[in-house]
Amino acid sequence: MNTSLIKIENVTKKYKNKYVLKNISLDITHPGIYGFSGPNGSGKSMTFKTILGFVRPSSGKVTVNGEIIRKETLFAHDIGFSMSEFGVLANKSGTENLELLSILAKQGSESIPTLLRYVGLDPEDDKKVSSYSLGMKQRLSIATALIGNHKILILDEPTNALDEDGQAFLKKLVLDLFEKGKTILISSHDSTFLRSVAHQIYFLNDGKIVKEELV
Amino acid sequence: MSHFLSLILKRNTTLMWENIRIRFFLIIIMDCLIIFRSGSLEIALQGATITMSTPILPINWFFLVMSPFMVIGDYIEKAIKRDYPMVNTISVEMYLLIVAMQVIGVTSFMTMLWGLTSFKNINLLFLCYVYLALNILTLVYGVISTLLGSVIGQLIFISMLLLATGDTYIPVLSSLMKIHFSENGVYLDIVTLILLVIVVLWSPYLLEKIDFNG
Repeated sequence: MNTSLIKIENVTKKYKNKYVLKNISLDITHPGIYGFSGPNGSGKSMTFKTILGFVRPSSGKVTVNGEIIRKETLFAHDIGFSMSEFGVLANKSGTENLELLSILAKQGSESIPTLLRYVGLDPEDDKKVSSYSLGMKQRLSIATALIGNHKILILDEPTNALDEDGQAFLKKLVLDLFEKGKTILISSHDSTFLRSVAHQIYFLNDGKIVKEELV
Repeated sequence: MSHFLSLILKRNTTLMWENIRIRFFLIIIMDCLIIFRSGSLEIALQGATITMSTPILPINWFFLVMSPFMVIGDYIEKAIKRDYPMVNTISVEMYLLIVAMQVIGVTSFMTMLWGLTSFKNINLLFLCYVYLALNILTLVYGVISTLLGSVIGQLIFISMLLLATGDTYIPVLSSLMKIHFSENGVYLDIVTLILLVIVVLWSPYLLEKIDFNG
């Protein structure tokens, strides 16, 4: 029997008197790259937040690595995430930000220069994050998801603010992470990008999964 | 204190300062001006009971008592809903303790500065009561602002303080006015404060109900 990595069962979420998730169900049982596509407001980010435990479903159940989220544990364990609302310290450098997170994750900080180079940032650059370009902030956000060497990664709209070169870099990075055994959930309104990386894509609209596509 | 906790405290101090620094300086200056112009902290916190014949809001008292909540603003709400998920390897209880220490630090600094600004004619017992009450009320404000939002939290406190200026005795709040403070009667307020602390200590369980929505 395959234990699900991530299982969402009939989850609805009401937020500010509106249903933002309507009876979402999915079952991820093996490592892969799973895309979530849909227009703004379709429920992609909200789906990720319910998986992580950041929002409480109005009904339904979310299980990650066998733990029921918000019942057996507040937040999901062993998931790295990159989401724009949960940012880094703007008046510190990229290195300083990652050092803090790595210590909290009980991971040695000697890997930080490698990690920064891995996402295309310069570890010698001591500029504050507040002076980073949007693309650099996006890369740093992805780096924070990689701290802790988690089995599952959630990347919410990582293609935002990335130019063509940046997207190509991201594609290479995501495929490389999959080769290393990670399960990656990645959202984008750019379905072309998702088709170039994902093994399976969930299409969302108005809070529902309207189509699943094996790539 | 463990290395992790000191790191989180350092991180959160940076985040808090970014959030509150402008409000902090403006309100501290206003507080000091109020106390200086009044002559002493006791006179500034004298308060008054609004009646039909004296319908005047004790604005100095009102502003001073609201000061800590105005300075802290939405920091607690953001510290929990936006800033905790990134560091959720730290237990929620420990994280809340750190946030509580931070806001107590701010409120304590403000009330002690009030005492220093009014270095003569201080009723020490009244000052200690104000210090204790405002620190605990700040934590209660933190719980309310996390659950309902900081705007609603401030409106609730404004409403309660307005009620306290009426004829009705409101535990804890009425005694923040010097005219109502009594060394004999303060024990009821202390008991109320202890009950409020119990409510605050229960707050980690309430976090299961909220959304950490950034």
